[in-house]
Amino acid sequence: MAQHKIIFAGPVGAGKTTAIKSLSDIPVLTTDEEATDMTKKRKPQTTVAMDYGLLKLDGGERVHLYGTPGQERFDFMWDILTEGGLGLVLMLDNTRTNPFQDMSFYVNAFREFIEKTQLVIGVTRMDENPHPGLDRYRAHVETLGFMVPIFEVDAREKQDVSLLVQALLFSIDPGVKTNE
Amino acid sequence: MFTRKKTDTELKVSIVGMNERALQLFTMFLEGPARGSCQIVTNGTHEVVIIDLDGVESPRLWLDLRRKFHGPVVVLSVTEKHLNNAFWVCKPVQAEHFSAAVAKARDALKNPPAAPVKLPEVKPPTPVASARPSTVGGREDAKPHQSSDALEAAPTTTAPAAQLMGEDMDERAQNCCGNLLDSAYTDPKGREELFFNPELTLLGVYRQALKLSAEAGVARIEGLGPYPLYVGAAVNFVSTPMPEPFLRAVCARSMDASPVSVGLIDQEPKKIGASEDPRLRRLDNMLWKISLWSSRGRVPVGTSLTAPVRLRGWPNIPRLMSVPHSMRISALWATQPSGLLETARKLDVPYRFVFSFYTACQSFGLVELQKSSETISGSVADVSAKPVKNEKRGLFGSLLKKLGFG
Repeated sequence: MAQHKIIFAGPVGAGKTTAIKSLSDIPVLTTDEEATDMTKKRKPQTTVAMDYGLLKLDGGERVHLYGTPGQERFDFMWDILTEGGLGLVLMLDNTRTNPFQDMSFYVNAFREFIEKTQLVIGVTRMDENPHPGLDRYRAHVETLGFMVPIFEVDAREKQDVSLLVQALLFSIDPGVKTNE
Repeated sequence: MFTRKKTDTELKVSIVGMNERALQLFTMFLEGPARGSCQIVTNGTHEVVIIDLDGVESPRLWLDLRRKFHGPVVVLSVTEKHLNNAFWVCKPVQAEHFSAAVAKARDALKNPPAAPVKLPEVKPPTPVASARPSTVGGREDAKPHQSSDALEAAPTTTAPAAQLMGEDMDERAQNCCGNLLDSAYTDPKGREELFFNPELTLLGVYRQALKLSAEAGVARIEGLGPYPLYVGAAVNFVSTPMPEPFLRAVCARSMDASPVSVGLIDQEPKKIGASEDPRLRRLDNMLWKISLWSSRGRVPVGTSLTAPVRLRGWPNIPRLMSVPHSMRISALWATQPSGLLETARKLDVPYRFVFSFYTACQSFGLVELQKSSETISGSVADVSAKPVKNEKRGLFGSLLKKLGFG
């Protein structure tokens, strides 16, 4: 049976692991380690290899959920993870100093993959820091050559993460309907 | 139920547009402060009808009533109503005002008014790319160039309640997108029903308040019944004690029928915006809701129904009132700009969802109409014929079901 996967990427603390936990049917496997570098300021533990969750579908099909490590020094993992992926969910943290720089970095890093598949963006912690607003995110992603769904999300809320993934699927195929 | 014997002076009345609780309260009112004026009957022998016209369904209720009953009507509403052979009583209902309206209804029974004058036929609006609304008259925003009398005589494609119950329409859909049937959209003769003038609805007033607030501070909208609405664009808030059902009802009525005003107040936006007041609501949520509830399955006058719609940016769907199929509609407009009518056909979704969603997106500047020549070649077949998409449709369908879509 074919293996399908959805990739979650983004900077440290943006909510990738939490988002996968919100959706997964199994306890999420994480490779968190105590942070020892600058990351520690934002998060005491951080993902060093990947997170893994699973969605079990009717009919036995499975969709694997992979979270990339947030730290750039683990970017050798990214190519391996994206192989055969359905699309990319990019999580951005609105309390970071320059979330647009984060966006540019990840969109460019995954550009080849995104161009073949699809990208959606979830912006977290907008309740803590409402600025910049989504309109500025939309404008920035356009400068990178994309017009994609960008939603305000709380990674702890299954409904929010679910809507991100739904947007990813419909962006690939607006004609799709649920299988009854 | 306890019923009193009717006295000679009591009118036999039937009640329309009240839920059970409201009906019980009103019955107590008739048994108490308004005792001796009316008696409620349910056997069809009523001489006068009393109707509550503040519900979101009130335009349909009124049309339905007038198809069946041409006698005097006592209208209860928070806003003044000028309807043929109808007598308005302001809510909250005072016994004195109610008695006066009943007396007028009694007079009207003795001296029926002349039949309403038939107005000339209304031309459907010319579809143009500009969304600039034209000037319209009349009290009902759905009916440009029609008076209330014309409204009574107008044919309607709105669904009777029983028919709606049988449709695949959940509460969410009814709440946000009105109840126009698909036949209203496919019949070229009924096209005028698909348009409304935002300037004559709360949407126009709200936009005006937004503009004023963005320029100079906190704007206040007054005249919406007992509830003022404060708009603070700088701090992204709206403050109002207005309950949502009331807001929906206000969205359904025409703003030119009552004295609604927008003005600035001497208040620091931050002072109000920083408050923990539960009446504070997000500015974008409020604009979205007002757009949907003003639209109710229609688009602004002048909107082309065939020009391809292009999505300029996705709405913040997780934080806005849900519109059925909004994801699919957004995705289609983002990838294959399509006309409004064409969109509903391509995606096989009710037209009213597409029209309502368009109106809400337009309020946020998230959509634009393209010229037909800019149309990206695409048809229903194109949407489903791409092999890459088809091969994963089964998987996507299962995944969407798993994610709770639908």
